[in-house]
Amino acid sequence: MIKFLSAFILLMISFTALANKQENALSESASKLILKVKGAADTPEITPLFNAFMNRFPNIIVQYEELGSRELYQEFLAGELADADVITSSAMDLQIKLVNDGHAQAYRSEQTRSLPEWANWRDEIFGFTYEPAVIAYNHDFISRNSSIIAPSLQSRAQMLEFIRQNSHRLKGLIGTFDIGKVGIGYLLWAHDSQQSSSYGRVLESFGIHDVRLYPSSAAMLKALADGEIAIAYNLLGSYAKSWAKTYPQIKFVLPKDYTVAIMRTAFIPKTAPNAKLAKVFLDFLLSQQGQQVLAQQSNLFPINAKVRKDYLNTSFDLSDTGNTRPIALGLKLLVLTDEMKRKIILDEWSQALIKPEKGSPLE
Amino acid sequence: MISPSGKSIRGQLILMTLLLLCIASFITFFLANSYGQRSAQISYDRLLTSAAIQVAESISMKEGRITVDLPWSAFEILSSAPNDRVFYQIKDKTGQKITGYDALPTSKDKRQRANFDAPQHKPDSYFFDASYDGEPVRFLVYKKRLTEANYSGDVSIQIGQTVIAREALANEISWRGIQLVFPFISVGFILVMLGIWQLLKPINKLNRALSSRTGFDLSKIDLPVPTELEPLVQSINHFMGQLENNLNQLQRFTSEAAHQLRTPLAGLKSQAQNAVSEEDEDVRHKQLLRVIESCDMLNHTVTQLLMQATLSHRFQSQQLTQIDLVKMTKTVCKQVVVSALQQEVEIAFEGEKAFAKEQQAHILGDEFALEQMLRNILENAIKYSPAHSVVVVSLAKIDASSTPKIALSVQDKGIGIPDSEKPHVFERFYRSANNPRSGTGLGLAIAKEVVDHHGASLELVDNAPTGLIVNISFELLEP
Repeated sequence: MIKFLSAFILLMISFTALANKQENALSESASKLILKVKGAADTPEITPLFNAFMNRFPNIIVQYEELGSRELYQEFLAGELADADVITSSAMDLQIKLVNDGHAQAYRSEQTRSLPEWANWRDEIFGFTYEPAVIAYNHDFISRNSSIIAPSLQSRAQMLEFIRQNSHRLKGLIGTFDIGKVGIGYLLWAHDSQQSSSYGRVLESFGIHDVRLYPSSAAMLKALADGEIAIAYNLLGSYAKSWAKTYPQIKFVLPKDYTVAIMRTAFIPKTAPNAKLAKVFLDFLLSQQGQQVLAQQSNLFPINAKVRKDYLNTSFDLSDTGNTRPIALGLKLLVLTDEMKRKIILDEWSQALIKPEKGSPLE
Repeated sequence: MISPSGKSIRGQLILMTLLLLCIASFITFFLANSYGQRSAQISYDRLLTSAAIQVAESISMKEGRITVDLPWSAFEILSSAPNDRVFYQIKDKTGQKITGYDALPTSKDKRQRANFDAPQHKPDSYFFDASYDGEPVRFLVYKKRLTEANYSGDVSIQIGQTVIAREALANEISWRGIQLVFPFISVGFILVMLGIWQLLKPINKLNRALSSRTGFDLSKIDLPVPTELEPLVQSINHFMGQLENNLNQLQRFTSEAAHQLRTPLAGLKSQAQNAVSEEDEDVRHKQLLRVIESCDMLNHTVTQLLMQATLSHRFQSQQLTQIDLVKMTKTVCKQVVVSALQQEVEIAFEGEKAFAKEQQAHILGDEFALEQMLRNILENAIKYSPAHSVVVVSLAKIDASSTPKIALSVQDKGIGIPDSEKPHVFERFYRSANNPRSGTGLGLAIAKEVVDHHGASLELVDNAPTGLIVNISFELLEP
């Protein structure tokens, strides 16, 4: 396989040398190939992966452009990403919609076949990370307020009970995603609304306690570290884990009732100018090496179960909980992209969270 | 084994069986295929229907607007086709899109596809096939009636799914069907082959039984054979029987002929010896006359035997031709009239009355044989007629039966033949015990053979007051 790939790349070098000549202002060497990746992942988070890829294939240069997940979707539909070879995003619903509408091309290889069934749809879209949504809290805040009973936040029900018992102290100290703006937030919240009976009570409780909305995991974690908020709900486990390393006051749990895991997904658009390079990249992304780079250098939980286990065993065992369920790639996600469905979910959300007036007597 | 000319029964049977099995296989293949298609269509149409029903349930009026809270379950149902894409659109009564995809294809002819699974009590719901985004898609249009204060009319739900899983299921079902039927066809073929082998075994057996026989073995075939072959075996056995009969007759004839020749020769020899030793001139003269008489007699016998051999040969080689019986009878009468007169017997021909000179009576016959027959009968009649008597030869038409016949009769006034001997006088070398006259015993036998060969009938009747009438009736040719 590797022999084949290197032979293939050698071929590509001679083949595309002419074509790339005038375009490559960036690279000195005319023999360099350019792979364009458009994605919603934070550039610093994903860069180690590209570096590893470029080390592995020195003839390829990766150009990455970061966009918001919704922006990525809309620009793709508008035809502004026609030069993209790979599209990656954590907004699984929007990615599925693009694939369902026939914008992706199929790719089958040893790597794609080794993926679990729920991480591959139609051989066109592939999950490459596996990231549980967690509840995080500021341990310092809770210990400082000694009157607060030591929290037991192992499940949503326990979290709600804790909030109820410490209601007056926690007002304005709960944070979650702004689902209107953050794709993952919308995805997780919509999934909650379908999955759980506690969803209504969570929404009600958040409404009462003036929940704060954040545009990203990083912003939420920063607020948590700074003590702006005490509890963060539906945070991505991968971010929480890397922040917890630097900020020991941050603790997080995988809810015991159920934990949802989302995937970052990648697909090759039908319009990809360099589909062959994109396939090489996909194989690298899903390979043991690529997955290890994701785990060790990007702090993303890899989709490869073995790599994930090796990586997490030392600090945090995901498999132990047994309640983690991935959101499978498939038609069901199409529901979330329905305009009317989205409006219904967002309306319900904002009606519960936006209070008619300050100091409402509701309690 | 299979001969291209199709002459081999085995080859033809195998060919026909193969042809039949081929046709059966093709029919099975097409049936399995259409069955698979139909089953898959029904199954996946049901899925589409239930998804549409679920979507319909989620349609309601909220704040004066039609709201569709797209249900997860509908898409979960559609996910049972794991790799198929789904397109949907929900429109109000004016055709305005409420939610979903923008421009889905519409059915050109609104024919009610697939009645067997059309949603019940929804006459305006229908399935149709169309191509969308470069892929074949099965669409369902399902109508939900909304009756609210400010909206009354149908909401149209159109759901389409690509057909990957449908086709996979259809293929699987057909393949299973073919797998199920194929062993039956194979076993059927083997059984038919065995059957053919078993059926043809008696023919081979018969063949071996016949070819292993010596040329002298004419015994009956005694083999168990199928009913269809029984007539063949019977024919063979019948033929063999006839052959054996003929052989026996020939054998008997040969030995009798030898006997008939040896006896007169022995007599001749002793007479000649007597004559040699006789000294009396007169007696010796008489003895020598007897020797000459015996030689004539022997000559006559040999002539008759040769005649019979000639006739036998003629019967096998000569075709019957059209001859005039009247003319022939007259000719023969003329030939024998002189020798008859030597014995003082007259011959009268009475055919002239019935048949005018110019009139003829044509029959199919062998002229030489018929002449021989008539001569033998006439000579016989003359021999036994007393002196000065008349032998009457007559020809008469018989119109009694449907086919016109002509009867030739020879009447003499001799001693006649007693009834007890009548059946035997035609046997070869038969000599009546109380017949004093000499004779070969072949004359009437030859006559009888000729009559039989011509398909004519011969009867012996007593004449009055004494004598014999020989009646022979021939079939007359149409003029």
